[in-house]
Amino acid sequence: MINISRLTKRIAYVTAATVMSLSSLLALLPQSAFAVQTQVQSRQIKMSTSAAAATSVTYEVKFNVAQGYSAGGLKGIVVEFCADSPIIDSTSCTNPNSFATTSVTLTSTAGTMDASGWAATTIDTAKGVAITKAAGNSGTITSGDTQTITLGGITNPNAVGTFYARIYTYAATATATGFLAASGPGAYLDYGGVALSIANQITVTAKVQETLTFCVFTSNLTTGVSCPGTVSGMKLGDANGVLASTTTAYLTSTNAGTPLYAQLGLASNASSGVTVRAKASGTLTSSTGTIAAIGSTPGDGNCFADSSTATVEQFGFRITAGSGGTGTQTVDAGYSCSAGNHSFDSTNLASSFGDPVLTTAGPSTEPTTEALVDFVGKAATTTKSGVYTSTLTFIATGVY
Amino acid sequence: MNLTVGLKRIGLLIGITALLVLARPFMTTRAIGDVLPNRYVKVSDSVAGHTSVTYSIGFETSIATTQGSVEVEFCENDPFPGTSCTVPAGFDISSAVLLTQSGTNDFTIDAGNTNAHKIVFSRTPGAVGTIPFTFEIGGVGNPSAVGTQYARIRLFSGAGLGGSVNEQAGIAMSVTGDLTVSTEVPPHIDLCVGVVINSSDCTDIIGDSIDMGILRTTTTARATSQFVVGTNADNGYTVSVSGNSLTSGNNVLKAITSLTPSTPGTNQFGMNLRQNIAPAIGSEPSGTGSGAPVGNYNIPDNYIYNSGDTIASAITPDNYRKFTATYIVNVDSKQPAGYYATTITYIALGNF
Repeated sequence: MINISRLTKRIAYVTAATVMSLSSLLALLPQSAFAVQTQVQSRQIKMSTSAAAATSVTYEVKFNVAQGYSAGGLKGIVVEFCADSPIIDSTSCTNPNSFATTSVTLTSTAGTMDASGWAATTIDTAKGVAITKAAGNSGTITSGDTQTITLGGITNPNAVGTFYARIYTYAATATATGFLAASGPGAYLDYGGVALSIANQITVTAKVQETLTFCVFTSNLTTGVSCPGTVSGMKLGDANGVLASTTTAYLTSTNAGTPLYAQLGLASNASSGVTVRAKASGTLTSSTGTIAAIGSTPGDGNCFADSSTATVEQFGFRITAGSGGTGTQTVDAGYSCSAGNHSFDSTNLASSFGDPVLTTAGPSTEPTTEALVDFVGKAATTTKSGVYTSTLTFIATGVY
Repeated sequence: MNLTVGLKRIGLLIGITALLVLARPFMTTRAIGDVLPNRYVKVSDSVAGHTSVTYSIGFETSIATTQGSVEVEFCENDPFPGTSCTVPAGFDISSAVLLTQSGTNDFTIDAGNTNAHKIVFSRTPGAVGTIPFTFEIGGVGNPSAVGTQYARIRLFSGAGLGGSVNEQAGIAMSVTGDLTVSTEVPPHIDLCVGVVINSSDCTDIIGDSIDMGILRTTTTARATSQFVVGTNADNGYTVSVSGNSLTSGNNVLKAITSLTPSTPGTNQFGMNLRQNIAPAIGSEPSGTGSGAPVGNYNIPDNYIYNSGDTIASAITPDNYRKFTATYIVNVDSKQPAGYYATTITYIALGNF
C-alpha cells in the first residue's frame, strides 16, 4: 500500500516535471512553430570584407530550404541584421552600429528559387533586406535545395564585434516588404539565424628597396661567372700584349693567348629599366701617338669589319647582350656588331654622360651569361712604338 | 551538431576575411611605387674616388602641391628617406654647384642645409603641378669604394626643409671601377729580300739565288731581285747594300764605281732601283709607303755598285714599300773564264 502510494507519487512528479519541461521548451520555440515553420539548414552569409564601416560590401546569403515549395509558394525572403541576437521571432533588433542596407542591390539569385525576377528592397530602417518576386518561384522547390542570394551595396557595422542575421521566408511579398522587427516577423515559412563578425584589419607593410647591381669584370669564361668578379688582363695583342700590323688582335688574358672578355653584370628592379653608358678616355693612346678608332670613318660609331691590312689601325669594341635571366638586355645598334666587326663612337664616348651601349626595359635579374664586351686592336706598320692605353668607364643608371 | 558546423563556418569566414585583409597591402604596392616616378641619378663618371663628377638628378612629381625644397641624400645602407643614413666613405657633395635645372627653374642650392652627403635645393614655396624636374650639379666627389649607394629624395612644402614632406623615394646607384685596355706597339723595321716578292708585305717571298747565265761581250746579262721595307721609326729608314763585286777565285769582275750606262764589251757590275729601258728591265718602287731610291741608284738606265752605299730611304714612318733591284753584268774579251759569284746583303736601318 505504502509502495503503491510512493509509486503513484513518483509518477505524478515525473508527469509534472515533464509538463513543466515541455512548457519551457514551447516558450523558446517560435510562436507559430506549430504551423509548418522549419529551420533552414547549411545557412551562411559570406561577406566580401569584414572591415568595419566598409561600404559597398557584398553579402552572399546561402541556405538550404527546410520545406518544399510548390510553384509560386515562395515570394519573399527577409534577411534582418541585428546587433543583439539571432533569435527568431524576437521583436528586439538593435541596428549593428551604423550598418545600412540603404543602397542594397540584388546582384544575383541562384538555386531553384529562380535566377531572375527577384528584387531587393531595404526594410526596417535600413537594417534589413526584403528579396521579393510577385510571381514567386516558377518551379518546385524541394526540401533541402540550396538557394543563394548575393546582395551588394551594404555598409558594414562601424565597430568590431559580432552581429547577427535572421532569415525568414514568406509566401507573400507584402509580408516581406512590410517587415518590421518590432512588430514581429509575421507569417513566415522557414527561418534561421546566422552570426557574422566585424574584425580588425591587419595591415602588413614591407619595403622593397630600389636595387641596382652592376659590375665590370673580366673572364675567359662566357657563362657561369657573375658579379663582383675581378678585372685582370685587358691587354690587346699577342700573349705579351703586343700589337702587330698584319694581325688583328683581340683581348687576351695575360700570358695565355686565350680570349678574354670584359663583362657587364647587371640586375635591377628599376621599373623603367637601366641604361648602361660607356665613356672612353679616347682611342688607344701613347705618349707618342694614337691608334685610330675603327670605322669607315674612324670613330664614326658604326660597326665595321676588322682588318688585317698592314696600313690599317683599328681599336673598338662590340657588345653581346647577356642572356639567361629575367628581363631582356638590348645592345645599342652602334655596338651590336656581328662577329668580326667592331665599333667606336669617338664623339659620344667622350660626351659628358657617355654613349648608351646597353639597356633593359624593366626589372631584370643578372643573366647567367653576362653581357660581353669584346675589344679589337690592330697597329699599322707606321704606328709609332709605345705603350698604348684606353680607359673605359661603364655607367649604369636605373630609372625607377 | 549544428553549433559545431556553425562555428566551423564562422572560422572559415574569419579566415577568408583575414586573407583578404593580409592581401590588401600588396594590392596597393603600385600606388607606393608611383611616388616620384621616372626618378634617376645619372653620373658622368661612376668610378670610385673620382672627383669633379657631374650628377644629373631627375624625377617627376606625382602630386600637385606646394613645393619649397628638395633634399637629395646619399647613403650606402638603403634608399629609404627619413631613416638612418650610413654616409658613403669619401663621398662629398658639399662643394657641388648647380649647373642646370628644369622644372620650375627657380631652385638654388641651400648651403645651410647642404653637407658632405646631402644637397638641398630651395625656392620660395609655391604651387607646382605634376611635372618633371632635373638638377644637374657639378663638382661631386664619388665614394671611395666600389659598390651600390643610394640616393634618397624628399620634397618639402617649405623652403629649407620646412613644412611637410610631400613625396619621397629612393634610387639605387652603382659605383664601379674602370677598364683600362692596354697594348704595346714595339719599335719595328721590317725588311725582307727575295728574288720575287709577290705580296705588298713580306708574306710571300720566292728565291734567294740569281743565275745570270753565260756572260758574253755582246750582250748585257741582267736580273732582278726585290726587297720590301717598312718601319714605324719616327725618322724613317735607310737601306744600304754591301758585298763584293762578282769574283771567281782571285779574278774580279770590276764593279761600276761611278754612275754609268750599261756598255756591253766592258767589265761592269752595277745596279739601280728603277725601271730601265737600256736594257729593258726593272720596276719602279711600289706599295703604300713613301720610301724612294736615293742618289745614283735612282737614275734609270744608269748603274753603279759601291758596297756600303745607301740605296733607298724614307724620312718618316713608312708603310711597306717594295723595291726592285736591277743587276747588270758586262764583260770584255779578256775577262778570265770562271764561275763568278757574289753575295749581296741588304741592311735596313730604322731611324727612331
